[in-house]
Amino acid sequence: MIEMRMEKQADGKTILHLSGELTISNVRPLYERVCEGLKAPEELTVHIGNVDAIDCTFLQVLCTAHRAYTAKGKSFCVKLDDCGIIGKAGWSGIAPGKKCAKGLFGTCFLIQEGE
Amino acid sequence: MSADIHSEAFIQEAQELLQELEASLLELEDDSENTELIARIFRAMHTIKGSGAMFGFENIAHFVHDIETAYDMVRNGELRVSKPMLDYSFKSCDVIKQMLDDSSVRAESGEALEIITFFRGCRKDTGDAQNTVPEHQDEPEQGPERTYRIRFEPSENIFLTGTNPAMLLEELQAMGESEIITHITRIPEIEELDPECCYTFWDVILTTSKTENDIRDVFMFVEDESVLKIDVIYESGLDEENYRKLGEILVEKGEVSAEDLAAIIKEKKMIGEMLIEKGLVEQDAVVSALEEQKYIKNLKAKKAAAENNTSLRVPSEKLDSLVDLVGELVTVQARLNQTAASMGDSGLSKIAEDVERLVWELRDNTMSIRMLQIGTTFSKYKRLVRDLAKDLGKDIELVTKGEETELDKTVIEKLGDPLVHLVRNSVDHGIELPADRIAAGKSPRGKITLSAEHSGDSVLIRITDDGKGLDKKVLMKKAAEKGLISENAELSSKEAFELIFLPGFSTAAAVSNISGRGVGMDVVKRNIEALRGTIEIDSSIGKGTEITLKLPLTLAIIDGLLVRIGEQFFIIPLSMVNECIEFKESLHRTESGRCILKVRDDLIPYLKLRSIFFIPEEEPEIQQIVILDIENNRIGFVVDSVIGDHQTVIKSLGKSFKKVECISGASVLGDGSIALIIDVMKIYNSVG
Repeated sequence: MIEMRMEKQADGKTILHLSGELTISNVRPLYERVCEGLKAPEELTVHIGNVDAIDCTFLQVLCTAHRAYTAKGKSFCVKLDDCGIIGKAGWSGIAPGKKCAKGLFGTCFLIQEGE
Repeated sequence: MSADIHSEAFIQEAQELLQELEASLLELEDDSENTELIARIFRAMHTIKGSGAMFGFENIAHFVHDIETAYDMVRNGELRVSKPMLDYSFKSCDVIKQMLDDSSVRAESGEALEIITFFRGCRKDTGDAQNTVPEHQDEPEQGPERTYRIRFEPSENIFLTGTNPAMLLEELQAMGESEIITHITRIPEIEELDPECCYTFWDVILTTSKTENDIRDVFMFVEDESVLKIDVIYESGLDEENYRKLGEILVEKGEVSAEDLAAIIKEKKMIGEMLIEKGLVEQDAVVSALEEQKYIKNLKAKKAAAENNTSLRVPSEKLDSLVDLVGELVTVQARLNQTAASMGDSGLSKIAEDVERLVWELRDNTMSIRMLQIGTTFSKYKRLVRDLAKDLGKDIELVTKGEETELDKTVIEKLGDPLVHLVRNSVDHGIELPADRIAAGKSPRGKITLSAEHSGDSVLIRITDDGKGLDKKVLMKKAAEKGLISENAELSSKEAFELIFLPGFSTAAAVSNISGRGVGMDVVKRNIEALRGTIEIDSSIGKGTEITLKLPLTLAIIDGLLVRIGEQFFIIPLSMVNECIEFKESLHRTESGRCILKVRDDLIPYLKLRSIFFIPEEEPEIQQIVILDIENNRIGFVVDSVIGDHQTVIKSLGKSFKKVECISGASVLGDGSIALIIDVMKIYNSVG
């Protein structure tokens, strides 16, 4: 089960709260949500907490969404309650502060401000 | 080598491992998720079990098996460290120590059985119902340690086959030390992304003793649909030159052609930046290569550090014998110097000087071999404090400082018992119960600090606690009740604190099995003085107590002042000597006949060593007085003449002279005559 909850803030920003099983079987709703958000004039913060399971499909969506939002000059930010989940998704070697391959030269959603 | 020698070697190794194990367990108590500590504990248990079985300590191997299994499960994330687990782990250290001392202690009886049962229970709780204990499971054959680069590019549909690549990477990580570099360059733009496909691929740098086939087995069910490339990039003992440069790695990985690389090198800029700038290589490929380079550099640095730590185990008796031989050599060298000087042969004198230089170098080196870091003993006090505090319902943190301070191994060995007593006293009498501490406005957690530092030719060891401190009035009342001082005695704080060193003195309201029997502090003082050391107390009510031990760096050699009384030579430890002045008794005799000397407005009591040692020869008219500084008091020793400083190799007096008072040893002089080493503290204490 995945829990996905939207929270509109007064400053126009949107927070998308994700928890539960962030795995391939639940990735499509997230993908559709970020695609929608890309069309709307919104800035998005994804807050990930209380994760039961996670795989790299979720991180792929967040990664490409980050690129797309940034290309459109919009803010896209991910906040993680537990950095260890990144390793569990097979994204070992990428962690806030350590930087991913992209992050070394450019910016990465995992090391965005707000982390 | 005989089996006994092997067993002895195992016992020594196991004792060292137990020390490490206890230190790691203590750290784990505060940091139960620390994977490095868990791995260290597992390795120690594994080595004790393996070596135990090899050298015939079957009971130890059998006992440790279940504990090792539990820590293996912790290591693999199948079991969590709990307080009972730590308690039983500490108990297991004690049982292993007993087993090392006494081979009749069985693994399946008494406390050992209780511990084994607990750890077996841990396995059951996690669903590992295997209750039978394989006696000595053969470990699979391990190959030489190699570092592999594994490129794993799974098929885009890997998730649809039910495989999560993360699990495969976890399996690799469990094989050894690893670094995973995740490549995300193939993740398409959002519009083209199929969220259920896998676009990510990985480089894993893995150092393991597993073979390439073992690694391939991990990918057994996905290898056909994936790209899997495994290269050995570093092997211990091979390729010891500097590791390949960034460009070479990229060429080897097929990320760039050798020709393109050569063209870039000509431009003399940072290779990585240039390759990306020219669009020849993706930036994540450069990052991956850089990570690989860094990993190997770190690996080599760790290996070099480990090699620097290589040591040779030598029985301490051999070292003692070496020190004795060096002592003899020093004596012979002194005779050579004297002979050369008396013959007036400049050639011989030159040789004597060279020999002297070499002998002193040899002496210093030999002494340094005997020096051990005091930190090796500090760890056992952490365990002591932990256990005592638990028994007494107190919360106490032991902080250690100056572990790297070196002391002669004999001093360290003899220091053990006094230090245990002092630490126990701090725990029992010094630190208050948590409720009392809170009531006194303190943190419920008490703190004991054990520190060591060099101070000239001595080492200062301090045991400081932030407990209730010593109460002068209570000490004096107790001493008066016991008849140790008069009811109306007036003592300074320092003198009152020193009452605790009197035989039979104790202020503990209740006698506990920890302290309070009044047996100990007098023995502690005696033991410290036997080491030519001193002990001082400073305390403040409500704030705590500090006990300072001042100990010589070594017991084997001292810098001494050589003096003569009649025909007999004596040596006074130079560290206590303040000054030497001429002494004419007729000039210094007071009207009352008291032995008091006035030196620059200071009144200094003096003793005639001639009287103490019953030397019958007549006193010369002009004598020398050696003024010593003992526990901040000045006292003079009258001698016939002062010959000068003398590096003294201490020889014990042997059993026949054991009862000789006021002499702590002897030294052989250059001409073969004997000089007796004066036990200054004994004389000082005997005269009050």
